[in-house]
Amino acid sequence: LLMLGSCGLVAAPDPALFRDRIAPLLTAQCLDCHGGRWTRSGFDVSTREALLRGGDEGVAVVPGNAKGSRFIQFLTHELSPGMPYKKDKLSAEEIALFARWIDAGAPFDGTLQPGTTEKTLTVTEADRQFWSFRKLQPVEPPAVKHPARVKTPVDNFILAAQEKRGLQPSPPADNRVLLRRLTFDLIGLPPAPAELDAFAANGTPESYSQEVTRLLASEHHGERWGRHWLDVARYADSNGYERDEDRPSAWHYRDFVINALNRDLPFHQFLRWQLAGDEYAPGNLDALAATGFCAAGPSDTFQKKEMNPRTRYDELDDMLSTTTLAVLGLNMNCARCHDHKNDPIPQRDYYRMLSVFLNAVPDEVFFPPPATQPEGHLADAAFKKAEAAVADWLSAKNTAHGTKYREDLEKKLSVSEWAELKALEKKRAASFTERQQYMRRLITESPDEPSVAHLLIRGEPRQPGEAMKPGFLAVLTTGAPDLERWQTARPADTKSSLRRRALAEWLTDLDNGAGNLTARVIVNRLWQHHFGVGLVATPNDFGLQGARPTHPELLEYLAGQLIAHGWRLKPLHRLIVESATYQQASAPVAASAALDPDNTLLWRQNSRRLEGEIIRDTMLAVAGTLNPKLFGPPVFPAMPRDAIATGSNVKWPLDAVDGPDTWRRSIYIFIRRSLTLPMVAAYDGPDAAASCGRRQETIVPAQALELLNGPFALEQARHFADRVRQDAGPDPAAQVRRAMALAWGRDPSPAEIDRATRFLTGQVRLLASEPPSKQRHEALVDFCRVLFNSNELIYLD
Amino acid sequence: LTEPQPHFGSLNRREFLQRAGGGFGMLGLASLLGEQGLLAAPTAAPVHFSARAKSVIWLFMFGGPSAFDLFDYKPELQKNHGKKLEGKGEIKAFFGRPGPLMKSPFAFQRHGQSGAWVSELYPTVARHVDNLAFLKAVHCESNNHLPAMLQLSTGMTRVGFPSVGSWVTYGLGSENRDLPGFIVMHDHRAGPVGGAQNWGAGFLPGSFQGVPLRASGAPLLNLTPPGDLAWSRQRTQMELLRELNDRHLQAHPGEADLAARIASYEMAFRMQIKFPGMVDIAKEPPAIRKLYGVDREPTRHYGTQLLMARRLVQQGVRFIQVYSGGGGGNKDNWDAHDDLKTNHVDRCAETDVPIAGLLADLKQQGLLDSTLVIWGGEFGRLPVSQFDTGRDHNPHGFLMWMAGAGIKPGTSFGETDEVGYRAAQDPVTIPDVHATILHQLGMDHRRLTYDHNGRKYRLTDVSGEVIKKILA
Repeated sequence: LLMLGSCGLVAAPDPALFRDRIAPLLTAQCLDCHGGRWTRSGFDVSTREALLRGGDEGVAVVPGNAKGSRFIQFLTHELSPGMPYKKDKLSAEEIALFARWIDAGAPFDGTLQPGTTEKTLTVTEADRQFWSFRKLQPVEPPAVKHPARVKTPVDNFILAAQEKRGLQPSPPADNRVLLRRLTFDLIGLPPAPAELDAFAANGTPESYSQEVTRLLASEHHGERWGRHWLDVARYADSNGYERDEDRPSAWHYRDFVINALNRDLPFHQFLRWQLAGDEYAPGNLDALAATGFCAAGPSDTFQKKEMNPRTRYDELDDMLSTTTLAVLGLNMNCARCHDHKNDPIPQRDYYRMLSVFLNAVPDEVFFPPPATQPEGHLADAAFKKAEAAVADWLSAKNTAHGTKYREDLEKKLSVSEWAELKALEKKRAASFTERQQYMRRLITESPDEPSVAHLLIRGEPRQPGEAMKPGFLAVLTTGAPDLERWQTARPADTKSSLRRRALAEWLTDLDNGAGNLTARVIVNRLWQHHFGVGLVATPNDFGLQGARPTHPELLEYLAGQLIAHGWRLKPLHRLIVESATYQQASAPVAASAALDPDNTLLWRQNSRRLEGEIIRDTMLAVAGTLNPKLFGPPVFPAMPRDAIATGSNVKWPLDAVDGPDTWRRSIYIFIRRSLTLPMVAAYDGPDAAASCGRRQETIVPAQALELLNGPFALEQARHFADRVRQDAGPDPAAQVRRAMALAWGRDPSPAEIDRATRFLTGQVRLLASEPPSKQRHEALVDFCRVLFNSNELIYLD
Repeated sequence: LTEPQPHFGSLNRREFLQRAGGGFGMLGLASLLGEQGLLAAPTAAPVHFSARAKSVIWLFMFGGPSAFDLFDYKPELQKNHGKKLEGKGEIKAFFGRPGPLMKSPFAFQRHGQSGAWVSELYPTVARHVDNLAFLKAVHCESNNHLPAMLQLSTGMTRVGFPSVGSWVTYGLGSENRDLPGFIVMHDHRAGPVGGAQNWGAGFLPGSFQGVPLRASGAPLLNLTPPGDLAWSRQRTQMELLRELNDRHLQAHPGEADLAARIASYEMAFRMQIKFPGMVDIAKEPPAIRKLYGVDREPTRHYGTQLLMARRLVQQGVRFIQVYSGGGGGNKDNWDAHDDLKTNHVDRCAETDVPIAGLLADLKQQGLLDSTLVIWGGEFGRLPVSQFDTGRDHNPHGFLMWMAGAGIKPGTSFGETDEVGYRAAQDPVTIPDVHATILHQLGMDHRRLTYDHNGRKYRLTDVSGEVIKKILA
């Protein structure tokens, strides 16, 4: 029996009316936008309950009262927008039918199914046999015709493929080239000329191996490879969106990454802490900081979450999608609104997996250290005091915070007032830096009961469908893909759901979970950064639309080796860089290029451009100004005012000046989502909005202008010239030799020395109006700047 | 100073173009390949059908201008002043509780052959109504500035997606090798909220991001040599660099990137020489400068920018976004929360003459036929009052107009309801607007796609229909 509204007399219900006339009309005219593909304005006609509940604008159907139902008024176009939206008005007869049906109490029969609904995707055994989804295949390095060419088993795979195609590998690169390549690849800095000279003279396979050991042990290794991982982790130091506030303690995550790579934390452990450090090691500040991975996505703090429920789902989607892109090379985001179009990922799997993050809230937390370490408490108190001092001073002067431009404020205040304010602010900044040490950006969970995820129909938060049992991707799981299989018992004292920990276990489970794919994806990333392109050219897409591995067995072998080495990455680096394949010369060979123009079969090493950050680091190293300090709060190098002025308010310290404190490696530069340092932005720095597996590589005039005219390039050219003068004395030829050795890692030819000294003489002539001492120096600065711009510095052979 | 010729080393031109990506400082991929007889080569995005527009100038009124105080006369709103707005469901105001209906404080008149209504705030623009096509029922998905701006600029309310200008230059490149294809000019007070997030390239190559251009001083970042570095000294530096790079290239035959990088330096050097002149409005006759209001306040700044925009269009720049309004304070943009009258009087005083000047000038120079001009904000404003004399955000129904480049002049499409609260008739979505822009440029919005992280993306995501009714 139908429950009717309080509208008095109601016509007798006629079940045929709904079944034969109304249901087909609703399905054909309304359902697509209201409960089918979409739920526009929150209004859903697919069930009677939803229909009567109405939409964002309130009740639309009053059972028994067609006249009082806005539903009818939309059909008659008395209300706007007229319905059906952007389609012809229904016929008078059809509208009359709807009116009759509502007057009859709007009887319903079950749930309307949109006619267009695709069949639900089912994951099959055949799906599980796709090359990247199946278990790792046991492989043996293949036999090759020229075993003498093999240095590590990597070469067996590469040579076997070359031999099949009749390709010859290239000869080994010369020692100088090799050490430069190795040093950049492992630590992201140029080798010192003396190191190069020694290796050039006496390099042997044994001493090369020693160089590998030395560089893998370098504390700069984590900085180099940490930056690669931060691309994947879409790391930034600010929220993004309108306010783009600072995340004052996000950098602890960056430091965790650097430190973990330096210590060669096993990769499965590395992942486990990033996803669930709080659930594995609750008291450990490093483990807590590691969850900064989950908390690193952009966040729209201006959108109140209750105002737009989609904002929270965007945040959850960011955590889930970044995790699967980074770890599995799969984009789950496609399954947010419907079954994945390409990969065997049903929409159900998306929401089952979303359960993992449902209670996860990114936050920044101050950790009072134990009483035995009073520094933390003092830092906290000092910061609060310093902050209050600035606020009090400003309000006493009747000056609001956030004055649009500091220049305005500067104009308004007297010189002494300005100095006073600056002093107070400096104190505040210093104490804030102190206090940051005791803060962490991380994931918190505090549910009494873990929340239940619902499948959202068409991804619409206002359309929760069926409740979902927490679980993982069926296609990567042997047996039931239920989260509980990987869940540990929840201790009484924990607030956390331990679901992220279960996810981390599943991601690294080689027997029943996704561990095999996890291993393939990370070894491919290592390969990519040693050769410029991965064995799988799409590092963030190991799905059906992604590239296929050029050397499938080698990828299996490397993944197997990773596991055999306890998931440690450094042995894998060694396996790769000690291969003959890696050590080849990069010069093209016409016969080989004719057979394999893209070098897919690696008959030579690829020539590669340094990334923007590494170019900057290299300039500092060459100029002798690099401050090699590791870790700590991010630094703010000088930013051109024009760049700052593109924002709606000041998002960079206007008084930032470059000096030893900012001459740090680029990984320590503050990453503001709405304002990237031009040097990094011009050279294809990643957009931290989403996981970036492989940077774009463009060649455009803005890059040239940055190095030709940018203030950083000019300043460093001066320091470079100072260093050259100091090292080489006043003789122009000696200066040229030293400068080129520093910049290029080799001795210039006599012709090059001659050309460069003629340049110096010419510049001196152009500087005739300057005092003689300045002429010589400025000429040298000009020369040093040319070297900064030269292809030989920017590219690796 | 002689101009160095493009130099591609051992690299052929097609390879070079593929490496360089067709963005900043690049010729349109299609046109260059055509010129080289290389059109059979794969291009990033071929032109899908004949284009009406070569360039786009988007006059972005940041903050959200009010339709029924400028172009959309609403007699019912005037009549019902002070009454509560009823029957429209709950009004979701951005700040606090909405007040009663508030009539427009401005007088309206009909103009031109088309008889379009324009308020007294835009007297000069009013002379051009017969060139405009009004879209009166546009709606977007957020009543919050940045998500709405992101939707207008990128199609999505979230960060991380390529902006319209990036998609366009990705598809078409710039027609001028010495200029960026996508240029952004922001208000002299400050940039819009979100800054560079509004003109980012998202996952497209960085060469397609908008390049900020200044109205005074050096027009582009790092365009001029620093400090006291004389041109003569830089020229000899460039010569040495070229020689060193040539030697290096000879030792690395066939390395396409090395040759492309050499060419990029030559482009940069040409830009240094040519670019300042290209945007220098001092070269314009006084009458033209006057037409844009360059000679006086408060139109000097916006007028200068629009005159620069016209010069850029003449030079073949593809997409130019010019913001009116910046900063976070309501007084600095169109965000008239508390004092609509002062706010809109000020903004219109700054933009009326320049916009009218741009339309007149484009027309007299024969450029309007190939230049699509777009006017609008990220949303409109509510018909009810806020803080007694202001209006809150309204994403449910607002007004934009387009002109030129195959847009039917003197037309109006769509209506909001009688008081202007919500799109009522012929509503237009942002993807519809984007689809129409691409269409006028000769591109099918369903076919301009880019693969990223395993997914094929397009500007209009999964929807969008070209607004055929406003096409000539």
